[in-house]
Amino acid sequence: MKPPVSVILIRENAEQLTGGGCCGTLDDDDPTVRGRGVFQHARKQQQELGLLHRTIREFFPTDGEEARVAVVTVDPRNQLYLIAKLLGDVLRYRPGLSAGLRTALQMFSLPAVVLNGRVISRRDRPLDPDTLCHQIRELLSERQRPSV
Amino acid sequence: MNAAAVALLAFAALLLAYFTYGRFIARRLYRLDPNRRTPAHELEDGVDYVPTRVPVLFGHHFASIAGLGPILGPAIAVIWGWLPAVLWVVIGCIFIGAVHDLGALTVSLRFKGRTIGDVCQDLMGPRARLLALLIIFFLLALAMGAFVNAISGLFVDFNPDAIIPSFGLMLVAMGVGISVYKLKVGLGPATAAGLVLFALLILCGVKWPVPTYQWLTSTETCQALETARDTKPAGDVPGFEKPYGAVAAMKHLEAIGNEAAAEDIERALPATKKRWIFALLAYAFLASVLPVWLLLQPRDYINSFQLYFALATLLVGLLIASAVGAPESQIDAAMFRPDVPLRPLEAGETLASVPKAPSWLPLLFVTIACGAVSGFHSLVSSGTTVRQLNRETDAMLIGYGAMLTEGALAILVIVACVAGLGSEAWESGAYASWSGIKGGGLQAQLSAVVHGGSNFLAMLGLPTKYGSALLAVTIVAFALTTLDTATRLLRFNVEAICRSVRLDFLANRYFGSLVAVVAIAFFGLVPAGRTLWILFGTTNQLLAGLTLLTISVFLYKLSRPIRYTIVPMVLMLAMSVWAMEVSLVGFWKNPDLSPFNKWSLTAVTLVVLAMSLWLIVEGLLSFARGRGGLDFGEEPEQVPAEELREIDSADLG
Repeated sequence: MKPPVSVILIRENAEQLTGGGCCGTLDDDDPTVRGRGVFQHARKQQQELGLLHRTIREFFPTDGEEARVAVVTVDPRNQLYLIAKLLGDVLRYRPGLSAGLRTALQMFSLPAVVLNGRVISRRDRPLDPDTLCHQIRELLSERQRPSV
Repeated sequence: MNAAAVALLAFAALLLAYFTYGRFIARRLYRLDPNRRTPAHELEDGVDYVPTRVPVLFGHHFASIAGLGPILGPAIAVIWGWLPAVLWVVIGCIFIGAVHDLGALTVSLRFKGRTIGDVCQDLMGPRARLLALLIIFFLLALAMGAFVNAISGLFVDFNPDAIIPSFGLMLVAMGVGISVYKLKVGLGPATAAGLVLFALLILCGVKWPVPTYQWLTSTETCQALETARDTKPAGDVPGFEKPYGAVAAMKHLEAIGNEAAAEDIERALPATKKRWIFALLAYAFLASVLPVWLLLQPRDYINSFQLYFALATLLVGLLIASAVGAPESQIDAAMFRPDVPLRPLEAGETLASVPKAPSWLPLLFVTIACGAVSGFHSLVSSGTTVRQLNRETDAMLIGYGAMLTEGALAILVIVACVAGLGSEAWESGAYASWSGIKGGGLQAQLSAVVHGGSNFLAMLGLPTKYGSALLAVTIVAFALTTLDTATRLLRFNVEAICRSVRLDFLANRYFGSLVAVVAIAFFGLVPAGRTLWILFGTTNQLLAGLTLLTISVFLYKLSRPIRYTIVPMVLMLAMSVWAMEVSLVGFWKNPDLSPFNKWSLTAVTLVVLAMSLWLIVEGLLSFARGRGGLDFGEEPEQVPAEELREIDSADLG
């Protein structure tokens, strides 16, 4: 079975991650923090990538038994998972040396979109849902071609 | 006793509990159902509600709950022996802490991802919400008071080498923030540059320690210290080497007969620490008004690497020490030490003839708060985590499993203190008496973790001077992040409390910030480090009690057994109230406390005690309202199998 098309959406959650723990943590949805706009920039990124997430789920629903597109949303501060996931995708989909290095070394600005181990988002330019769907469709059609 | 064996046994117990008691609680009590639609599926928007695989969520959740709490508490509590500390961490984690965390997650899950504060208000009414706000106010102020107290002491007494890297790290974090968020530099290069600069800062810190106590001593003392610098230990005379901490300086000067200089330093210490406390408060005020992207969030990137690096190296160092039979692998501390002298024994004195420190019972149960059970975890569990659960059953690894992992961190800290330090710490060092070294407060215990841990790091080839600076800076970095957060939260909290009691004209940022900083300053300046920590632990257990009460009410209304949550709640409340009584007696016996401090600490304790009673009354009223009123459907709504597979497949690559 061919692997599904892998989409990694990398953006921060609107919250503090480390250092709070047992003694307080800032979360945009905590009742005392809510509505203060403390994490405005992160919230904006969340909404931008949320649109991409919804678009993928809408246009590429699961086809019967097989998942065709696997989308995962990761907070970049969760490096324990992110490093392993990016390396795994690069090794699995082999996007080429320079693209693979760019992905593995996280040479992308936030928010980022990684499609089959290749960074497709650009600095200062939010990715258009149509462009993303188009690229996914291309990969899916390649995937459906019989391997020689 | 072999330290690695103790640690591995404790880890095995935690693991076993996960597969036995944890599963029982998840299946029979909380009835987690893999087929019920989670809020992540039901409300999926890709923004807040995103079905996420377990490995992603576990890393995120663990990084959120692990802070300075599970480090400082166990480091203090081992003074009563290593066995009670290890047992409380293991038993507390399994039967209380993890049940609490998983319960908070489950309740929030059933209420479609709403926070535990909101659910608490729904289940028990607005008074319970006000109570939670008040508990959180005291919790934050006490914890931050203890932190500024400990950090200022660490800088002065033991680790002047941590000053440059700790403050330099703020500039590095700001640089990372501007690069990532404004200049849109690649995440990898920005983080790598941050970590390289952090390593360079540690090298600078080790090379140029800043013994700030010297700024307030006489010229003669400075000259004596200059002459004594870099003296190696010889016979009974301790050395005076980098990082030139005040304790080392005084010990050396006393040993060479320069009593006047040692006394001069001792006189300068309170004023030096007080200045550091004011500097830290100024930092807290400034950091809490800066935008979070500039300092708080970029520091997350560096902090998360520090956390995992410290955890991994401590564990590997311990295992290597054990494998090669190094002295650090043997536990030097007593297994159980019920009688701890209040102060160091003078020549000719016996343990029977000196006053004793407070008893381990009940103080152990509030001293180790976060490593065994932490009320604050409920706030983390019911936030982001719950909205991203792919399956209900994933909550078990995230809620129950992450708390057990935090317990494992606390065990590592205990081992670092009881084995990594060597026997000297127990005979004449930090753990020889309740007052520690030279009457030092919490910094003596922080220093114990730093030095014990650096001995484990030495097993990996990292010289102790660098290992010590690295661990000290890691601890300080976490403390400063928490200080920044807590000041901001306190401000919000004060505003919310003002609105709750209809004093809207006081609900503004200036009044809020002022109250926040004054509250932290009050606790930070009280010369009662350990007592402060115990009060913090008590308040934290109260918050855990409130959450356990919310979970119990939730279970009661669903006609499910409540003994698994109500017994821990009663235990936590009983220990908290008992610990407060012991603390009250302690204030009045403490000769270092002024009448003002005695009265004000008594007032704070009475307020916390009143909140405990309030909590008990709220609980009784909630149960009196009877069962029923909650309906989550008999037949769980099914998540399509292919939808779950799709999320699963995201992690296969």
